[in-house]
Amino acid sequence: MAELSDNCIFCNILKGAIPSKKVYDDEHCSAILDINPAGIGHVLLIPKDHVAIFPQLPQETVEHLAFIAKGLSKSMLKNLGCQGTTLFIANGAVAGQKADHTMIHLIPRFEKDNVGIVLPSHKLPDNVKQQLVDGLSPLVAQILGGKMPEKKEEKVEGKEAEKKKEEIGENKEMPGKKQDNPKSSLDSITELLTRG
Amino acid sequence: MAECLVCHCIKNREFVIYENSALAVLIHPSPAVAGHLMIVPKEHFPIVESVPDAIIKEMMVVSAKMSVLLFEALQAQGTNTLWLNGAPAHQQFNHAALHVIPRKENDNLMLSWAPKQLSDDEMSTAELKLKEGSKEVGIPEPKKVVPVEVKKAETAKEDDWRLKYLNRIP
Repeated sequence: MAELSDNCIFCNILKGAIPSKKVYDDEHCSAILDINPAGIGHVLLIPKDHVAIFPQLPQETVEHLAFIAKGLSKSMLKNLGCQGTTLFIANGAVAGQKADHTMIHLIPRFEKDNVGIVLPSHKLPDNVKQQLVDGLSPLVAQILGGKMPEKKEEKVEGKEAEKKKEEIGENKEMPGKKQDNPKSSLDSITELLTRG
Repeated sequence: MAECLVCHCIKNREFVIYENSALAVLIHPSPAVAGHLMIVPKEHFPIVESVPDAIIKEMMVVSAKMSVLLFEALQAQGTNTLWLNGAPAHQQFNHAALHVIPRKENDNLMLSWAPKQLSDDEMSTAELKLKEGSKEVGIPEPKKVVPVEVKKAETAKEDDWRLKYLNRIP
């Protein structure tokens, strides 16, 4: 496990050097009430590893945090009487991250609570959709292992799944290699993103 | 009843960019921004609480990896991971999901909230209630009991040679 840092506010909260309202604690994480809450019962679930962004956490910690977040969410529904929960993780300042210690926000939600956090919906043009599917599928397969069927095969039957598994092996041979083609086809998407 | 849209996508391989036995990664059909991904359990669970522990863990692990993907493939400057669980949280589909959203400067996405001033009383009450409830947090859900077929013990027949042998023991 990564060391706690002396300069980090949240590490000091975890150590107990800064007081907090702790509502859950175990060897991997603590949950405290946010002092600037979006609403009643807004909890910060903080891992006891001082890492800046969520993807830097070891896999076991990520799994544990998911498990605890689900448990806390259940507890909120039961004990606070809320009708839903919002989980929020920000990686990077543009995403709204404020501290350099990664954490999960868990916010109990009530009818008409004015908290916001609504995802807008935009129409996804067919060509962009296809670009994303074609561009991202091989990269996801590279990261997660496994492979999506070739583009030409429109309808995929159950048998394909087995075939896919067999192909995992050859896929693992080049974990570091970046595929240039899918990446370049995503350039236009990147522009779309920048435009917002 | 109309089919769940997410289930429909999984079944028809629409918007799907990855799947394994437990979960699928989808391009959001009506995204907040281009590159908006959803990680969903393949089985239909309406809310997060109904998703089995093992699957919610795997979904979160995949969401972290999808953040890295968005950083690298789409040059995102940041990412948000969210679950919108229940109607007041503006859940979009009747199917539990983790959203991973690429962020850029000036992308016009407002995913923040205004801090509320709560009284000490309100804070302490919430603390007390959640602390009380935390006793049930961190306890793994009971494993599904798979009924095991128990073979009936063979009843020894009287003419079993082993029985005869037993009877001889003084």
